[in-house]
Formats: sequence, structure tokens, C-alpha cells
Amino acid sequence: MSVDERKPLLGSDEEDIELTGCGATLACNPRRGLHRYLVLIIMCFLSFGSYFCYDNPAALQDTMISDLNISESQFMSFYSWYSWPNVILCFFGGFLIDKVFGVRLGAIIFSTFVTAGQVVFATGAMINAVWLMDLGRFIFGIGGESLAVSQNTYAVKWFQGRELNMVFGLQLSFSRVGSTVNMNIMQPIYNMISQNFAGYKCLGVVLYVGGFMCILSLICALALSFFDKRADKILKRKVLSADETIKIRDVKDFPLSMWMLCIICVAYYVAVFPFIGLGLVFFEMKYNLSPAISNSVNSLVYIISAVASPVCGFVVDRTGKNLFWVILGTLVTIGCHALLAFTTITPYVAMSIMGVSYSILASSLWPIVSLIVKNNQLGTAYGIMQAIQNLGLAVISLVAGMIVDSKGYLLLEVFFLAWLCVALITGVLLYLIDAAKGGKLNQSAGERQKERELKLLKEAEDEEEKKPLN
Amino acid sequence: MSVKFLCAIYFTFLVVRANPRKVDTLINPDCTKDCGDGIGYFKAVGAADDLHYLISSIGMPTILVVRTDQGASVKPEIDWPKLLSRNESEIRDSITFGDKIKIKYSFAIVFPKLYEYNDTKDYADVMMYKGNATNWNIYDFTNFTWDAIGENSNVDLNYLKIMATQQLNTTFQNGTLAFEFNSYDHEARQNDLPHLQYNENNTIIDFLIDHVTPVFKKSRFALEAIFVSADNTTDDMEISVTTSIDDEYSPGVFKMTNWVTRPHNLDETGYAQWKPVCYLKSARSRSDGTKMITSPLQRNSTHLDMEGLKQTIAYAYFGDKLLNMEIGGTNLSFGLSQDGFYTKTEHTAWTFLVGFGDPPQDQVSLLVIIVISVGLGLPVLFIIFGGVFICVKKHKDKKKNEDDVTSDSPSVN
Repeated sequence: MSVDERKPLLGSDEEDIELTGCGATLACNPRRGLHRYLVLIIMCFLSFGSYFCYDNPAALQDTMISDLNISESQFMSFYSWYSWPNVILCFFGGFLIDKVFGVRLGAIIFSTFVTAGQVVFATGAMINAVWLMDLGRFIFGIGGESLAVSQNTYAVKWFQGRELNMVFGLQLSFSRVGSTVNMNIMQPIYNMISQNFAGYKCLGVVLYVGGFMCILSLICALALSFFDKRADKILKRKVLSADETIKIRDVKDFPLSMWMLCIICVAYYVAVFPFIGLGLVFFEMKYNLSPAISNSVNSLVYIISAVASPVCGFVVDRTGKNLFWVILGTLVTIGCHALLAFTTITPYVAMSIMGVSYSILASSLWPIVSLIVKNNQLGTAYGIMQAIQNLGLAVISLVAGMIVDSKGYLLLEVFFLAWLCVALITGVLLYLIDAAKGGKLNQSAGERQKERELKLLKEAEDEEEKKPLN
Repeated sequence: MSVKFLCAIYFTFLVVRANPRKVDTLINPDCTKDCGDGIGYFKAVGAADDLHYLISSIGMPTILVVRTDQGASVKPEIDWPKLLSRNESEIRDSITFGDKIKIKYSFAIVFPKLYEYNDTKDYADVMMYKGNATNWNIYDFTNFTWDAIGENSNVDLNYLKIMATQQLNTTFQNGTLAFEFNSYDHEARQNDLPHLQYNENNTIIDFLIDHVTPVFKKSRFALEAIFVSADNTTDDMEISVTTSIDDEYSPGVFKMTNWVTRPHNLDETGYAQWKPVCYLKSARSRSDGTKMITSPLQRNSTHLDMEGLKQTIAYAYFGDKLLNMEIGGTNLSFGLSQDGFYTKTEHTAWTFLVGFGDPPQDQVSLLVIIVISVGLGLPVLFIIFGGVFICVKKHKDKKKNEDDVTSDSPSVN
């Protein structure tokens, strides 16, 4: 793979590349929007495999427990072996992208990890060795979360100053599509394969099928690397010199606003996902819904966000003012949780609105990072944010379980509301701090566009000045 | 701010509530020879009245509650040979409180049958199957062999237990079916889930079906219950369900069911109270809880097993009046669809209260009030004060700028 990387991909090293043939068409010209959108499709499929396989255990829960003859807690270990190491690992993943691999090689390496992890996981099932399956999930986890970081970095690289919010929304919705497809087709696949194989052997074969999705993602990583390298050349994107690359010390020099963003991220996400994890019983018991209907209410947030996040991202792109959207998203979510906690109004209302507000927040929050940190530190920054979020989710899920077991759902909701208030206050503070510095994070789309044009103009002038030196 | 005020209310409430009774327990009062399954007896002596709970599996599991004037000598008089005769005309009126005692009120709850059904459609509601829609086993409690009540009870702890470990001639095999009764002289909550609030005016009862070998692949159980009240039927009994947003005492359970005999006179009503939850493991936890469904109240006595009732201590006390008293029945279905049926853990435990007077109501606890006021009040205060501060500051800045502009302007010109 690394050999591929070093080889000149277009076969020539000329200064100015004349695009000919297919390369000059709209679809293949990196200067054109159409090409970017085609690359965006590949970008979305980059992490499709990892999201698809992440929830393989959940989709096959009952069969997995009976085929492997394992306990509930052994089953849950498939998830903890994924999530706990990632409390730290995806930070290093992001750092390595910035420092050593670059995003291209990083994405390839991490999707290789994902594929290898899934293969080990499937092999473990094939020979009925739970420890090997745990190891597989661990390897898979190393790849999965860092792959998400590479995806974010790619997105910024290609769409900064353009449709970045929409792209983040679209990627979010693709991750949902990945896990939904998994939830719906794994059991039918199992039933099909069970005609030829039985027990854990059948399970193993089904998981190998999941591995194909990972290979698809790996192919996407290779393709992206090709297009990205080509675009670098054609667009003459800046190549970082050695002293420009990030050092681990640089992390402590990240601006305060970056850390505030992390606080918003973790305080918001812990009020949404651990709640969904505990929501089923809440809907059954408080609203007298049947388990099947509760389940669909519970997954409303996922389904709606899959549809709404690209749309919300688009709106955020058009209007700018990311911080305003972040604060709005948090406020609306507070309202939804308050409805669930203090009223008996049908949960369809609260959960649907929460789906939209989550989409608003997610598609406006993540792109802000690219406005705060330098491009050569983006991987690290996204890695940190993801790591903090993983840590928060892991810890708060445990705490939330304890609260609900001892004190019930009302206090659990209050607990989540308190976290949302933390997110809200941090959001407002960030807005004020940013406003005092000129309001860069909350610029409207028009202002941002103007600034970008100015910057381009300046860069062009700089280029002009440099030329004689060459 | 309002916390202090709420504290005051809370403590006042506690003080007013205190109305102690002294509880004594007897097994088989006045029985000298054959006592059959026996009768357990709680006597709760209060300041103004006595509550007598008679508990027995004779005929069918029955709890008979009689409220009388206060008096040390007030106690049931039981004609044991007649009671155990199995002859309806003998059983009639074999329990009395003597002619001189004023009976203020009396009622009884009887459990005639247990249904085991194959829940093929996973409704978890026995009422969803009519006739031959699925396979049934109907266990008539009159056919059960019960342990003598004295064998498993503890008089010192005011604890009574009626229990059957095997049944004659049918498929109800192995395992245990039991009703456990606890009476207290004070108000508190049970240690176990669902943390129902017992007090000096009620008895707390656990019903359990433990390790009974299920007959069907998807076996679930349902229990039939009959409530009879010594009222002429001017005030209709009713089963009502209240919903709360607060589930702090029994996490995940937001509803409370009250079956009251006098819905318009709650101070002097007989009641059974429960939360719609039962547990699949003996160590109760939220995650092992599942639902139970109470069918609509059946008030037509032609559907109720009146012949069976004539074998019970309720008939022994009420006599033929029983046939014309206010009566209602319901079926309690244990389980929730997708919980894995009774077969999953082979354990179902359900708790309810039977008592006299205003049924306990869950109050939002001080802890929850404090958590809500701190958890949400602080951020709200922060935001309000922060907002005011910023507005003031902006206003000042603006003013200052204006001042600067006005003071600068002459020199500019």
C-alpha cells in the first residue's frame, strides 16, 4: 500500500498538469463541483463498512448468544472491547494522521485494521473462540474510530469553506444507514446461510460476509487516496514541511475554544445516546406502548437524523452562524428532555424533535473545529474530540444505568437535563468569547465567503511575489 | 428558596400521618384439635378502632378484613369443626365476632383460580384468548393441597405464609406457589422493589410462583381475584390507575393501581393497591421487572365462581349475605410481550397491599425536589444572571462609546 502511495499516480511530474481526455471532463476535474460530489460518495462509503460491522453483534444478538453458548455479559464484552480502548486510541489515531501517515495513508491503514479486525472476529466465531472474537473487536476498534477521524479530516480537506456542514451531515446520515442496513439484513443472511452451515460455523460465515463491507471500505480508502493525491497536484495544495507538522506538545496550545467545543460535544452526546440505550423500558412503562412500538419510538432519533442531517447541514451552510445553530440545537433538546421528564405527552413528539435537533447540532458542531485549529492539526483535534466523546459516553452510560436502577427515570432525565445545561452554558460562553474576538465562529455564510475571497486574493498576491525567487 | 417551605410541608405531613397501631399475630385462634389448613390472624389495635385480618387457604386463599370498635376482648370466634366440615350449610356463619361487637366495615379478597396459558401470540394478556384460541390449564385453588399456615409463618415478625408445593391430579408440578403476608405497626416502604408504602392500616402481600415446571412452550400465568365488600351496592367499587411522572420508588414504573370499594368515601374504603410490575427473579432489580395487566373489573356475579366462594372463610363470616354483596372480579396477567415468558426464569413475584382507609399515595421525595432544584435551578440562574450581566455590560459599553463619540466629535470637526 505504501508503495502505491509513493508511486506517482499520474505517471508524470510536470509542474502544471494539463488535463486531457476523461480527466478534463466535469466528473474528473477536481476544480469542478461535480468531481467533489463524486468523491463525496466515496468518502461516505469509507466508513460504511465499519458502521455496518460495528453493530453486527446487536443484529445477531439472540443467535450469537445461543450459537456460541455465551452469557449476556460475554456478549456485551464485544462492545466494551471496542469502546474502552477507543477512549484513548482514537486520539493517537488522529495524531498519527497529522504527524506520520497523512490522511491518505492513515485512512488506508485504519480501514485495513477494520477489515482485519472483522476477519479475526469472524474466524473467532468460526472456531468458537470467544477470546479471539474479543481480540477481533479490539483490532476492529483500533481501526473504526480512527477511520472516522480520517473521514472528518478528508471532509475538511475537500469541502472547507464550501458545503462542509452538509458533508458532515451526510456522513452522519451514512453512518446511520450503515447500521440500519446491518440491523435489517444480517438476520436474513444468517437464515439463508444456515441452510448450508449450522451453529457457530454459520455465524462465522455470516460475519465473513460483514467483512466484505469492510473490504468495500478499504477499496474506497484506496480510491480516495488516488483522487486526493491527484487533486493535490492539480490544485497545487500546500505540502507541509517537516517543522510545520504537529508535535504532541502542540495539543496543550489548542485554543480554549477548542476545549469548550469538546465540552459541548461530550455534554450533549451523553444526554442523547445513553438515554436511547435505556429508552425502551421507559417508553413501555411510562407510555404503555408495546415493546415493538417502543422500539420504533426509541430509534426515531436515528431514523430522523439519517434524513435530516444533510438537510440541516445544507441550511447551516447557507446561513453560516454555526454557534447559533449549536445553541439552538441544545436548547431544543433541553425542551425535548423536559417533555419526556415532566409531561405525559406522547413520546413521538419529543423523540422526533430530538432527532432534528440532534441533526442540527451534529452538522453544525463538528465543522467548527476546522475554523479553530490549523489544517495540519485537524486529525489530532478530531481525534481528541472523538476520544473525549467516547470517554464521556462510556462513563455516563454506566452512571446512567446506576441512576435509573436506584432512583428511576425522572432523576435520570434531570441528570441528562443538567448535562444539556452544561452544554448550553458552554455554548453561550463560547459565543461570548468568540464575539469578543470578532465572531469568527459565528460568521454568516456571506461574511465567511467574503473573507475567503480576500484570503484567496492575498494568497494569489503572495504567489506572485514568490515566483521570481524560483 | 422553596426548598425550606417544602421541607416544612414534608415534615408536617410525617407528623400528621403518625397514627400508630399495635399489631399482634395469632395462628389458629381458639383451635384445640383439627385446624385443617388453619387461619392466620393479624389484630391491629388502634386508638379508635381495630382492624382484624383473617388469612387462610381453607377453600381458596382468602384475606378477610373486619373493622370493629376498639377493644381488647374483640376477636373472632371460630367454630373450627363447622368451618372444616366442607359442608356449605355448616360453614355458613362459622366465624363471628359475637353479637355485642359493633362491626364498622368488612370486606374480603379471594383468589379462586390460577390460569396457565400458552401465549402463542405473545400478548401477555390472558383476556386476549377466547375459548379454544390457545391451550389452557386452569388450576382451581380448591383442589390444591396447602401447607398448614403455622408451618411457614413467624408470629413474632407478624409474618404469615400460605403455600402449596404440590397439587392433586394435575400438571401443576414441583415448585412453589405462595402468598406471604406482612403486617406492620408503622409507615415505611418495603425494602424490595417495587418499594410499596405500607402502613398501620394495611397488610403487604407477596404472591409468587417459583420453579413450577411450565406445561407449555410459552407458558404465562394469570391470577383471578375477587373483591367482596359488605356494602349495599350504593357506592360502586372501581379499579383506577393513576399515572405519575415520578418513578423514584420503583424505577421504570409510573403507574399505580387502586381497587377501592368506596371510591367516593376514600377515608373509609377497603382497598387493594399495586403497581403494574412483577419480577422474574427472586433478587428483584429493575432489569428483572416485567409488566402485569389488570383486566377490566367484572361486576356481573354470574361470571364469578360463587360455588367456590362458599368454601372460604369469607362465606364462613358473611354467610348468605355474601351472595348479595357488592362484588367484583379481575384477572391479573403477569408478563410483558418479548420478556421471554414464564419459562425463561420460572419465577414470577408480585406485591400488593390490602388495607382500610385512604390508599397510600407516592409523594415526590425531598431528594428528588432538591436534585431538580439544584440540577436545573443553578443553570437557569446562571443563564439569567449571565444574560442580565451581559446586557448591562453591553449597554454600558454602548453608552461609553456614545460618550466617547460625542466628546470626540468637536475635535474631529
